[in-house]
Amino acid sequence: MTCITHGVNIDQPGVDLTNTASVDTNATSPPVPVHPTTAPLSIDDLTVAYSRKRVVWDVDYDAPPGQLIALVGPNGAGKSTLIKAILELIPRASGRVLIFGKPYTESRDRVAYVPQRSSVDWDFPVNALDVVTMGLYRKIGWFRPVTRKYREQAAEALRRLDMLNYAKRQISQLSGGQQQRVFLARALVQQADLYLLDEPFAGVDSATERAIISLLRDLKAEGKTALVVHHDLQTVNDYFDQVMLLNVRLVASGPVSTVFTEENLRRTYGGKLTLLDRVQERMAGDRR
Amino acid sequence: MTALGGLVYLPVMGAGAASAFWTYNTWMVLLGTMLLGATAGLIGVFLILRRQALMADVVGHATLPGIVITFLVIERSWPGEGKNVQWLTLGALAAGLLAAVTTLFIRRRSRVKSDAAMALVLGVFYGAGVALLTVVQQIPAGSQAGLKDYINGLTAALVADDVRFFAIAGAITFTLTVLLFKELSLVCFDEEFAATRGLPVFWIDSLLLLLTVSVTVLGLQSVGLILVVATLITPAVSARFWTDRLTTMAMLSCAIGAFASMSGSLISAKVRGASAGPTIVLMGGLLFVISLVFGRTRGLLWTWRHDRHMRLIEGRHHLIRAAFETIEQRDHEHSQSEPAGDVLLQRTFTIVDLSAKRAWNDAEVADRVRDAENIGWIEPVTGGAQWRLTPEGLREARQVTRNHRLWELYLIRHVELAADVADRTADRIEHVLDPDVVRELERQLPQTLAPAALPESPHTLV
Repeated sequence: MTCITHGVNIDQPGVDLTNTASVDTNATSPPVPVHPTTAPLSIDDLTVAYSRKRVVWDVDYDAPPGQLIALVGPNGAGKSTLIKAILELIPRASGRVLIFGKPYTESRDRVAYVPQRSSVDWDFPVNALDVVTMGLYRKIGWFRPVTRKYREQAAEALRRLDMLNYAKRQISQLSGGQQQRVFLARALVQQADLYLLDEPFAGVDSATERAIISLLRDLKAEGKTALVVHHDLQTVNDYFDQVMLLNVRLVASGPVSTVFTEENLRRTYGGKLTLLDRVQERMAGDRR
Repeated sequence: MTALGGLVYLPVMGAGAASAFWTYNTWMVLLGTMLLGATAGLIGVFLILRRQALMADVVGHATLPGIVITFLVIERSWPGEGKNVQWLTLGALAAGLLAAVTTLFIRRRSRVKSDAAMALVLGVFYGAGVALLTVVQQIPAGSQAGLKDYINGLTAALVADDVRFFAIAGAITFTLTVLLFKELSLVCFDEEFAATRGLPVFWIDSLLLLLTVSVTVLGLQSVGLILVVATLITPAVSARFWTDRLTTMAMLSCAIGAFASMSGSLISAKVRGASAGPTIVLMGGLLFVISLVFGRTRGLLWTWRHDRHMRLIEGRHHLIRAAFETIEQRDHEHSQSEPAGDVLLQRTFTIVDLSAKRAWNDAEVADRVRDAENIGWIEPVTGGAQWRLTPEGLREARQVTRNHRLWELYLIRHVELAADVADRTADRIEHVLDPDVVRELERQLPQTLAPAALPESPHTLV
């Protein structure tokens, strides 16, 4: 069993503190304030394996509601795999994932997923608005055409990401950052309560980074939860409330202020220290 | 039941037989062929977007053993009935499905890669079909004659009764595809996202495969099993050159498929010696070539014109900046302050000044000067020996030079490029800087003067 630093969020609104009976009350670990049946995301002993190799091993995490959570770890740590296992895109070897107390298949409508930008063919014959509309296909239903009502909803999502001027552009004619914003708009139209974002900040311009972070903060203000695969250790402090440090096993998780420490980062990143030392200097500089 | 052998319902035109050509049968065959062409075009769009184009080829070739086995079985049970088109079609359908499922199975359950799996299945099934054909040829009854039509297509031999059967099957295929348009396109674009939204990706893929098998088997009738892949793929690929929208692409692909089938059938009926299958495919090929060259969004001609336009704009910008920097430099030699606009309008430059600025030969510089004069950016002063900027030309020149220098400064300060490298890089970029980028540059270069102010060149001007 890995040592897991659980987050303490006593003053979180909406957190059920009275019923912790079903939670593993290990004497050494602090009390778990988030109840799995109300948590936006509750991961219990999750293991994912490709043939015989474990890619995600024995992960436990209960996400508190209304928080921005960074999922951090080196390449090959299983970050994308974890997200995909939550979404049941790849089978679990063992463990259980609950979203608002239900399995994913029953809480689908409360979850929005933003895949990595590189996962699709941007030469596909659709424009930005078409892509955003795809977020509504489930709502529109089988066999039904996309009507104006839905296109207007999609346009509104594009507007929130400052992309309305590009609605009619074929998607290959958008910059990387604009493509990422189209993907975010597609997630936004779903009006979900839990957002899973796979590296939304990878290779985007500074304007897009600002747009994404302001959107995430808006979502948080609306009481929504976001789990974001994140690579830039320097911005974890500024952008996120909670952090999950993953390297196949969950090294540590909880509030950024207590969990995002030098020691935990070393344990997560192992030998890759040059980058880490640079970040350390920065963090030391911030504290001064 | 119709025996196929001698019935030719799109007759080759004889002299004076014009009135006999447009019979009920002719119309039915033509309309049926068009419907099949359109359906093939529609399915082809999704096959291409799902990168499964060759699947149609696999299925096409794999129908042969199905056809031959069905023939053998029926001929044994009811001698003389072996070449019933509808039974043979069902046999082809079964073999096509088996081949598709086998391919999927090999792909999923073994380490054989997709293309190898397809080649494998195609080869084995077609080989089996050819082997079985030699068995058929040893049957004494000559009834097997015409079975080979399936390899080359037999539009010419279709009758209204068969066409009705194909038309209904084609219409079902077409309708299913239209109904599932949304779902098919989402799976093609972003499979994982589709799965997270609860779409049964495996079943939609399987359905696409079923539709492919169905339209391929139906297409056998008109073009034969070797060429049938072309009726699915050619229209879709051609349509892509005209549009960036999926719905438009699908409609165009249908239209191209229908037109190729119709015109191909008609030509083969009217021209002695032209058989329908190859003619239909060739018509599709012709439409492809037209699309490749003239296509409005990605055709070669359009791309070429776009490139030429970009080169023209680039040339203009370079010329006007060369002119501006020439007179700016002269002015600096007189006074150290930034020259006022109207002063610059008085200054003149020669063509030699311009060629010295850039590595242009006489012809290039002459072309560009003529162009700049035509659009009113520069004007000759003394019969063409001296030139000066017009007010509009000066405004453009300031803009272009400013963009160039902002970009140069950005590269030098933030990318730490050497000044001369920055100059060359900026040379290529300055033409595509949109207002957003320029604003961002201004923000990042706060030392730069007030808006519209022109920073000095970061390097000495040649």
